[in-house]
Amino acid sequence: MSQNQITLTGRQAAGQSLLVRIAAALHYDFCPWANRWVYWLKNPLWSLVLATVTAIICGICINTNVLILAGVLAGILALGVVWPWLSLRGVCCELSFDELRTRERHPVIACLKVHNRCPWPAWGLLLERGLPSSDGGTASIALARVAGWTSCEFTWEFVPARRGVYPLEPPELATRFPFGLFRAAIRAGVGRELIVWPRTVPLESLPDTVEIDPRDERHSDRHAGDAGEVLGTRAFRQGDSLRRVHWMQSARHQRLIVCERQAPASCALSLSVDLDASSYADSGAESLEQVIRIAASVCESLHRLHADVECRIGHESFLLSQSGGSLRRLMDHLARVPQTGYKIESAAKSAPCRIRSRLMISLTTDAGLARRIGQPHSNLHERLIVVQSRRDIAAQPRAGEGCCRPWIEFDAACDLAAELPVRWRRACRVA
Amino acid sequence: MSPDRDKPNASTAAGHSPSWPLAAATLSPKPGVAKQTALHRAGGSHRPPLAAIRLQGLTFALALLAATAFELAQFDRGSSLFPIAGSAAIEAAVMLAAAWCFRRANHLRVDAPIISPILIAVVVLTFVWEPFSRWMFDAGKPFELLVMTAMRNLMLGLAAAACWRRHEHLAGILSMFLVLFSSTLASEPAFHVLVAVYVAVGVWWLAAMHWEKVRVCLLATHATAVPRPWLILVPALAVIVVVGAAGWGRNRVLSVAAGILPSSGGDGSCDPFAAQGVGDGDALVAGTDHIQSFAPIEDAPFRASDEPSLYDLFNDLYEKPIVPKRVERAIALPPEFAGAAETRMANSEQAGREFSTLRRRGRKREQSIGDLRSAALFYVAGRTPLHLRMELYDLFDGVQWLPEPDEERALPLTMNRIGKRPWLVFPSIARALDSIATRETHALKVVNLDTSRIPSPAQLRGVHIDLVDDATMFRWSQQGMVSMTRERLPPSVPIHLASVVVDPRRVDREFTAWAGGERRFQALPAGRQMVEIEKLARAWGAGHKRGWSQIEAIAGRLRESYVLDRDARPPEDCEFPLADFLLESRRGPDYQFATAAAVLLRALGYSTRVVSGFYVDPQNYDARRRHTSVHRENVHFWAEVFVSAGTWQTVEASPGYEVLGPPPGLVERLAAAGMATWLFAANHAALLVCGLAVVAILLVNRIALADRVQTIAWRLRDRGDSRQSLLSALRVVDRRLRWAGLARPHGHTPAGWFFQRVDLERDAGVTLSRFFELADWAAFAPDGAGAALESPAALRGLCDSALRLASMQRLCIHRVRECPIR
Repeated sequence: MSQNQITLTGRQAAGQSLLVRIAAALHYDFCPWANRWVYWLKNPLWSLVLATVTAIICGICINTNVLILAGVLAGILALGVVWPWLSLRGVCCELSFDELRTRERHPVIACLKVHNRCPWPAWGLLLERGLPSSDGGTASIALARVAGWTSCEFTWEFVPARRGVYPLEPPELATRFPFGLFRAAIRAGVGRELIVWPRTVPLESLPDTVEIDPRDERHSDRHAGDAGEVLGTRAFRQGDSLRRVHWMQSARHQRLIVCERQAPASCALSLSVDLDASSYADSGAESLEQVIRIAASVCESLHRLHADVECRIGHESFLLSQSGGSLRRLMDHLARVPQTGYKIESAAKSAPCRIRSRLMISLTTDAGLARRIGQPHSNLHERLIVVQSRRDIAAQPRAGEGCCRPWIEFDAACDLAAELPVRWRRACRVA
Repeated sequence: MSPDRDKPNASTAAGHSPSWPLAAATLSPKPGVAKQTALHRAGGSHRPPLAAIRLQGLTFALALLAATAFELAQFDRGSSLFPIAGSAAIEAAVMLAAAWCFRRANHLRVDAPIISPILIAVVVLTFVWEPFSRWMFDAGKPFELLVMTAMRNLMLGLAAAACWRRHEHLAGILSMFLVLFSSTLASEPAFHVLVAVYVAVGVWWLAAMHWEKVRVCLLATHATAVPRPWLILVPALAVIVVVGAAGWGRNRVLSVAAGILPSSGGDGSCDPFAAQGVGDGDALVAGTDHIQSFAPIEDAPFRASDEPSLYDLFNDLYEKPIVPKRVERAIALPPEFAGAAETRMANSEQAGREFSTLRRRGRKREQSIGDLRSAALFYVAGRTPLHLRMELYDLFDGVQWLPEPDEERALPLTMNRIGKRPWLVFPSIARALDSIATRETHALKVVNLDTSRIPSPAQLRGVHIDLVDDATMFRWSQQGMVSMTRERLPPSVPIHLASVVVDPRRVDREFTAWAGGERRFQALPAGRQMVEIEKLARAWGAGHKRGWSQIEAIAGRLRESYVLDRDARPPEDCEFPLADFLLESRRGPDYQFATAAAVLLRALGYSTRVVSGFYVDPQNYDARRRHTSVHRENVHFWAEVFVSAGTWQTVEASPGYEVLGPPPGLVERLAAAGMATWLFAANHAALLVCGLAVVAILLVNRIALADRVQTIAWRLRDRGDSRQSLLSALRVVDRRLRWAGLARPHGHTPAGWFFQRVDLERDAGVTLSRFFELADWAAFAPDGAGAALESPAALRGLCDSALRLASMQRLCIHRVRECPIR
């Protein structure tokens, strides 16, 4: 590249930079506090109203011809307001889903039954609120036309982006046809709700250092030792109890033979999920969702591996038994957790574990961890899974500080499907 | 949401073969949306979503129409339209080039191009250029036009950048305000047509903008690409008709509205730098080319011609009076007036100013109005209807009305300067009722009238003629009226008149306090038949309280029970024409009504007089020139009743005439406008009904017509290329499916969808299967693959057969019907 070309490119870059700076200055929001007072101007209705008023003033003061324009504008305004209102006079609808439960990002078939009692058709109907679209919009679907005096059924594939009980709020069938000036809406009935469980990641490992709590009906492991069924015999080793000596075999073999026993064992742990709204005040909804997804993943995986899990959410406790009903109740409960968490009183926050001998795993955020550091009566044997949400590293509590140290740490924005199995397996092995 | 909709358009993304985009255009009903959705969902890029080409095209059209309307509003009436057309063409070319650059820049760059500084620069440059323009070319613009020009430039810039949605919105809003402000300047009829088209396109644009938002999440199973076009076309057509009708030609819609305009009329303020005056100010352009057209300007050239005098007009309209053969009169005035009447009669007859109510029977007039260069005697600007006095009559001897004597004892006239303008004021006129009166101004321009007396409304308060500041140019004529001290009024020079309008319903107290007036205004002719007339007056006035309600009852009775007939005359030997009119024929010209009203009211004790002059008929209002012309047919007689010192109230007893009331309120104006609109519709009922019938027939058969047009277009389009021929036939079938309510959604092949929704007989199915097979080849096969499977002629024949088999009629008959869900 020649020197001239380099100079030219440099000038172009400088010019562009100046342009960018001017554009930035032009688009700088000098008074963001005032935005809420001018948002209404975005609606074309108010632009038209403003134009109509201007036309009337110009018509009276300057030229009567403008009054005709004012009349036309007023007519358009009237049409834009009356048409949507009239369209929904005879319309009623009901929303339902073909399944009762699903998971995040799993499609279900939604069905909207619309009945139009009036002879005129309704155009441009939007199902709004309650079923947010994946891109964050409030409208879920749009119906081009519902003919007069008809009942129609519309089905579509609905993919819930987040856990919850859908519709999240009472849905409305709205229309702004033909000009988008005025929104007329009716409340849509809900025939069958949809409970959306949080997204889970399958985990294959159990914590190594678990207490053994044998149960006959189910077990996650087998523990060889002094108790249980006789597994076999072996030569006596130094330290074996004399009670385990199989005397008949010893006599036959002329050396000490001891019995080998094995008992079924189950991994028993207690998982405490911190859903206190104060722990998410700064971090936002994404941290809460990550905590709920981790809790759901751990509980579901351990339940599948026959572990004995007690999950504590606020002041409620869920014991996951062999039957699937307990897990379903837990997942339903997790699905119903509000978007901002629970407002839990201080007494409930420190409620003790029902079975103190179990391994305690707590799921919280960095804010929750910071609060624990200041509490002297924190459980020393508690293992903490912490979801980090703060970008400010200096503000984060350091590992080993105080009596609490994270067992596993996640970032609020991390990909759980990739991170959680790896870190969980590593933590189980190391522990 | 349908997964099909989320998928980017595969063919657009691939882009291998030249035939792929064609296939995409053919098979995807909404390629623009698919592409936009793909871009939008891709994420990671800073590019804002692009608006659809069609929508940007609409925004283009809107902005271009607004800019053209603005250009048109700036031009003078009668100027050539070529510069405007050239300007519009240049604007369109620049806008298209800029739009192409913006779209290209959006594709080439990662970030959206920065255009806000460019738009600001466009606005600033408009203002910066103006001083240079004034200095170099000696051509400048008034401030308001300069602001509007900047607004237009910004709007065009925004329209060029309308590929981004936010600019699209702003361009639309700015265009609306530009048209609105341009309307305040415009007078060209073409402007109204342009505005009507703009409104129609604007309505379409609004609907399209809204539908664009809805369409993104339309259910695929129930997708309709756009709402039925007639839903937008019909209101748009209605708007065009109404706006066009309102702004075109003479109609009362504008006539009513125009009457509410305040008129500067000489006593208002004006701006010497303004491009145009507000109301009827002095800055209106002089009518040098068309001198007959009226504008209240002060520098219009004078013109001399032989104009008819007022008395010629009376004789033209009512025929000449019958000279009685007998010298003695059967009915005479009371004795106390006899002496004075004799003297005045002699003077009046000498001057020809008396008015006889006994006239010859009418005959066909030989002189036609078309003989004159202008049909109008003079023009009036201001509120109408208006009664302009020319002659006042006080004594009535049963046959003839004698004019009032000229004012001789009145105080001398003086000139006052009001707002730097010389106004002739009348110091002697008592103004007892001015506190409840409203001010009114009118401007006259005499064209064909030969008189020195100024036609003036009741309660005249001042006269102004530009540059005439000498009071001796005027003199008193009759009571409350002035003449110019010259032989005739200066033609084509605006004469501004200031007067007040008293609401007669508010002056009842004046009637009861003093029925006053001089005795000559209460004198009744003596005679046998007067007894019956007095009885009639008492009978009509009975049951009404003395005052305006009683006067209105008498006048109303005359209006309702008697017939206005300009050709009706009493027998030539009739001694008392009024009695013949009131008691026998009950039919007569307007002077009989005026005479009857005056005499009946005198019989009830009111002071009355008869006035001759001109009736300024609102029917003659010219909406475009904003004035009312007065013709020789508008010569009129009416009565006046004395209310208070210096105040005479017009009493209109002739059917079909109205009296100017105080300015109406907002509700009255709206009611009048509504009534005028209704009358306009009623007057053009046949035309409207025919138009509606035609529109209805077109609407009912719209699909059949559209299908016929597209089929003919397909047949006429001779494509040598087999691929093009097949694809265009496929488009025709696709459109037919859409019109039959079987719009093909995304993800369905034409053949699959067609045979799924249409159940045809076997033979037709075979032909159509072959057609769809070849259409698939045309859409998807790369160039050179398979080449032409059949000869072009055979392919054309196949397409022809397919179109015949898949006709609209057959689609509607053989469609698979779905059961509605109950």
